[in-house]
Amino acid sequence: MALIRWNHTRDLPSWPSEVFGLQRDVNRMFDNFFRGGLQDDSTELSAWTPAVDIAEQKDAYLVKVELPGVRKEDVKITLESSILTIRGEKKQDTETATENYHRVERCYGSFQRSFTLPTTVKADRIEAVYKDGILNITLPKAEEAKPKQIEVKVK
Amino acid sequence: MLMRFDLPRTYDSLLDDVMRWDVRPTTRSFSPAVDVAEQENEMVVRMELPGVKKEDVKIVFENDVLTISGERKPYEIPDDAKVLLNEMRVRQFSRSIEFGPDIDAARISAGMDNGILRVILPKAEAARPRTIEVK
Repeated sequence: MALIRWNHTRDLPSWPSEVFGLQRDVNRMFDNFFRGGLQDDSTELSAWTPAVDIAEQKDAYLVKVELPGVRKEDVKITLESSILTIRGEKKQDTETATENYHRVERCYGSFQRSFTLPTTVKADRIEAVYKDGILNITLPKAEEAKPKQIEVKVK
Repeated sequence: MLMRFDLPRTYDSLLDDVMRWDVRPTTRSFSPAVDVAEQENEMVVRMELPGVKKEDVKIVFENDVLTISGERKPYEIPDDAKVLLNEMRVRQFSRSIEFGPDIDAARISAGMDNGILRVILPKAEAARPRTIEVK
């Protein structure tokens, strides 16, 4: 088997994960400063940082975590005093013992992301579904946290 | 109620505007991470494509070059939802990987599982290792 030649002109640049990591850290700093309520408490313990999308609805938070190739059983979601933590490990999916790598760009190892939710959620009603490499977490808001409309009569 | 400022999207669109002024036409593409492993009888390419549907992926093998391209389409969010954090990238992607001439192009196969695209490129019969018995 011939060796793979790395061709500059053909191959798009693949940035090392540290560059993205740094960019993400800087973005996160900015985000935390501007974003009301939601706070990213991720620690630097992670070997890599999965991308996260969070949307707020009237009655729930929707959290999406990019976890391609991570097994369901290797993901742990916890909620402790309004801090949502998603942690786990991505294991290298070696198929045979005799595998030789020509290129390894994917990141492996443990990951962790934590967020402080701005409002209380129903801890016992949190649902998580893993599909196509994306973890979808739905956190229904607690009754007292839902927006209430009060009609004020003008006399 | 605090006002939520959608910085990531604002920042992105700002960046995109700047990119558009670039002399080269930008394709707004990204390069998904890829692993290439060699096994006894085949080469295996594993590419991270979370949230990408298999019908949105195109795989071409031409002149010993494997090209995987496609599009990551945005997912739907409810109309009343406010975006608090947006780190996922939705756009076109393309990667090309050059292989030696020993690939049996007719038998290349691909599958998608848990956000990982797996392309198997079998080695041509002549390139496979052979055990020779000493008589």
